[in-house]
Formats: sequence, structure tokens, C-alpha cells
Amino acid sequence: MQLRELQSQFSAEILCGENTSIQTLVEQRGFQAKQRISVYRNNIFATLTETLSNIFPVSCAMVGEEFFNSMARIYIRSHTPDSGNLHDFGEHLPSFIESMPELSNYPYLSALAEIDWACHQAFHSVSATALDISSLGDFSPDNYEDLQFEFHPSIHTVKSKYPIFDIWDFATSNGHADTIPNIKSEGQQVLIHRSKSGVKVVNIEDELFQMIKSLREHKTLGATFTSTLDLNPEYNLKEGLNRLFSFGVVSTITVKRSIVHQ
Amino acid sequence: MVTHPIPADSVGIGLRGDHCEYVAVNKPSVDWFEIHSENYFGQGGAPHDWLRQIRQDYNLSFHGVGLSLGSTDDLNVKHLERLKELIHIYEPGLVSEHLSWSSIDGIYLHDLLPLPFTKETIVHLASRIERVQDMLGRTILVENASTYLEFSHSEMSEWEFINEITRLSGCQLLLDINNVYVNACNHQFDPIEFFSKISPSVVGEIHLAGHTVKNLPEGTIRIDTHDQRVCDDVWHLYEAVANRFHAAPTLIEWDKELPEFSVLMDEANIARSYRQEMQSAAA
Repeated sequence: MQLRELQSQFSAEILCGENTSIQTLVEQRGFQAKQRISVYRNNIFATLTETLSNIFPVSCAMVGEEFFNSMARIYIRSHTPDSGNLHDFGEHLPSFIESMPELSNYPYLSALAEIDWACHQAFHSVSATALDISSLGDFSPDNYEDLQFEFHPSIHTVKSKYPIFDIWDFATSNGHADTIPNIKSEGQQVLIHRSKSGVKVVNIEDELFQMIKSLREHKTLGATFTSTLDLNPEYNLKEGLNRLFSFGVVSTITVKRSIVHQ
Repeated sequence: MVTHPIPADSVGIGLRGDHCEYVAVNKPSVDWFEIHSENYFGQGGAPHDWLRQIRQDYNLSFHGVGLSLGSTDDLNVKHLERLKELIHIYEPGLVSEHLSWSSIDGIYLHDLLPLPFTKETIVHLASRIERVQDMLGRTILVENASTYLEFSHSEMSEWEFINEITRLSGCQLLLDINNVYVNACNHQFDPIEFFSKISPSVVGEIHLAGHTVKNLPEGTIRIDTHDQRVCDDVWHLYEAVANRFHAAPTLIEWDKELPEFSVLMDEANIARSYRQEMQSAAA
């Protein structure tokens, strides 16, 4: 058998449990070919399952290790790793969770997994400087409307119709949280970012979520303020902006260049 | 930054994430550290902050587990380019990979999978190694893998296979003594004969690690788990071949069920004492 055929069949045997002709090529020596191949299958599934439980620790704790591991086995088969770097594995787990009818008892689990994944990404993301609010002083107030922000590469936001921050806080507090969150209460938004002291998950109001979303789309500060006030005319923009800078997630500020027609 | 090559009589330790802070802060007396290259494929954050700090005081070896050298897929150039960037940043003394495959049809199984010892495999693998060496602009080491099965259409022994690969590609061998022992037990050959067939001039590094013995009704199978101390039989083999492979530095590997750092220091000291015994016997 040619090497390419051998590798394809070995992979099918591992992932699909198919009885391929690879079995006829394995020296038995006391063991069945199937048993020898299953050593590899066990190693592979153990490595990939452990990778997922390490990357999604909060989701895993929420559903319990046994349930998480059986879910992981299905995920591994349906979303096989496509990178030689294990840290890339698990990107589609949040959407996979959302699509699983067996998980209807955990309607918030997909958002929780998204936060886990964002924390993992934030941990490994490139470092960048953090500006504080005084950096706005470098610009003339006449330009404020036209300012555009670049964010720290670790930043990620998650919006859920469930009280996702309270659930996250409960799941990560090792039982020290005061109350069990009521999943029927209002939805929440979280901001995930990495600061000098590590990866943070913070609860943000919907208006700030909107501000960050708009600025990340490279809309100007003026346009962002307008869309935020559309959401809530009473919102205190100055306080929101202060809070945004206090997270240390703004890394550069520029003035949008007007397009000059000649 | 320490720039001299990793000395022949030195003993390094495999560095894992959980020990980085301890090492960076306490600067323990260790000759050098080996990291898994892929653990630093991320662009920043704590892993790189610690490694930069550690690199100030120690030489490094980069040990890859994800390049899938033996795969018949196209070489993963993106993976290799990231490795090259990291080599440029950290200037490791050694760069190594495995004599195995881990991916096919774009699917990565993330295990060191066995290859048939055939002429076809040799031609394929040697040309892949040559390409990697050309792209990296340096000689790499390839490690003999632990295996749990052998292919009946193999045309030669593992050592003949290894010797052909190193001869054709010009790469060096990372001789894992534990893996030779695991294979010798699993496939019933004499490990001493294996070592006698490997030319000392191609061995650029030695690995030592612990493995797991799995007893099944049909017999015993040894699995390369890297989750415990080096076993006595492997230490005896190390002692037996220390003289033959005296030009290669030694590494203690431990990947799972990571113990206190002092346990790894202890294992490194045992390796060092075998080396010193060998040297004083020779003097």
C-alpha cells in the first residue's frame, strides 16, 4: 500500500472507526490489529478532549466533565482539527453547542463557550499599548467628532439574551457567588480583554457594548455617539468613554482623514 | 542573550507553561531548556513574556510536535514560517521534530503516528526534511518515535530506516532512549543492538522520559506518556550508551501530571551523575 493511502485509511480508522484494510497491514504479535490501532485512537481522543476542556474550563465546569467529554468526542469527529497548533482547536465549539438539541437545558452555554474561547484568544494575542483618557488631550476638541480608535488585539465582546456575566461569575466563583443566577433575568454583555494582570471578563452595559462595536467597525466617535444615543438618549457618553479607557483597551487614536475631491 | 551552542555534556529540562514563572523568577541551576515550539505560535501574552525573560539566562531548544514531517499532504508552509519567525526571535541552539506523521487530507490528529519503514517513506521523508532545512536555513534533528504497532510491509528495521533518513537528508538524530526501550518491549527487539547500529556522529541530542506500562489480558504494551520518572531500565540503557553518544546533550522530558520543578531537577541530576561517572571512568 502506498503511504498516502495508508495515511488516509489510518485516519478513517481512527476517526470513523471504520474497518479499513489498514488492519491487514498491522503486525499482530499477541494483540489484534484493532487493539493496537485503538491505542492511537485513545491517545488522540484524550489529547483533543483535554485540549478542549483546557480551553473551555468554565463551560466544562458548567455541564460537568463527563457530559463535556462526551460532547467533545462528537465535536472532534464533526470538526476535525485543521492546524498543527493545538491552540487553534475549538473555534467552532460555541456554534456547535448552539446547534445541539441535547443542550437545550443549557441555552446560555454557547455564549459561555464564546467567552471561554475569547479568554483563550486574549491570553495568546499580541501585546499592544494601552492609552488612558488623557490621550484625548493630544487632539483638538474640534477633531473629537472625527476620532477613530484602534483596540487592543485581545478585545472581544459577547452579547447574550441571558444574564451571561452573572452566569460566568457564578461558574468561576467556586460556589462563592451569593446567589444562583436566574436565567430568566435580563440579558447581559461582557467585554473580554487582557491587561497587565491577565485576562479579564467584565460586565458592560448595552450602550457601552454598542459604542465598542461601532468604534471597532472604524466608525468615528461622532457617529458612535449618535448611534449610542439612538439606543438610549439618557446615556452618559462621557462616563461610558471614561469606563472604556479605564479598561486599557484603546491602543491608538487617529483623526479620520476627510476625502478631498480635486 | 546566551548564544553559544548547547554543550555536549549538558543536561536540559523540558519547560512547560506551569513552570515558566518559577524558572524566570528563581533562575534554577539548569543547563538549558527545551520548549514545544507550537506553545509559542501565539503572538504575545504571558508565554512570550516569560520566554523572553528566560532566554536572557538560558539557551533554548525548540522541539516541534505539529509539523507532520511524514505526512503525504503538502508541507504546511504557514506552520514552518511561524517556526522560522520564532527561531529568529529566540535563536535556539537546537531545532527538532519527529520521525512520524500527524495529519492527512488537512486533518490534524495531533499524535506522533507510525510510518512503514519502506523505501517510499524514506524518499518522501528525506526530501521533506531537506525542504524544511532549506527553508529554515539550518540542520534540524528528528526524533525516533514510540510506536504501538508495526506495519507488515516494512522493508527494513527501524535503525536502518533512521540511518537512511539521516544519510539522505543530512539531518541529525534526536535519540530518545525511552522511545527505543518502549519500541524494543512493544516489538521485541534488542535495544542495545539498536544503539550499536546508530552512528554516534549523527546523534545531536538525547531524550529521557517516563512511560506507562499497560497490562492487558493479551500482554503488556508500553505507552510513551511522559507523565512520570524515567524508569530503571531506561536509566540502565542511558548508562550503557552514555559513552557511545557522549557528544550529545541530554534532555529530561515531562509533559503530563507535571510535578514540582524540583523533581525535574532531580531527574536532570541523575542524568548528570551518569555522565560524570562515565567521564571519570574514561579518565
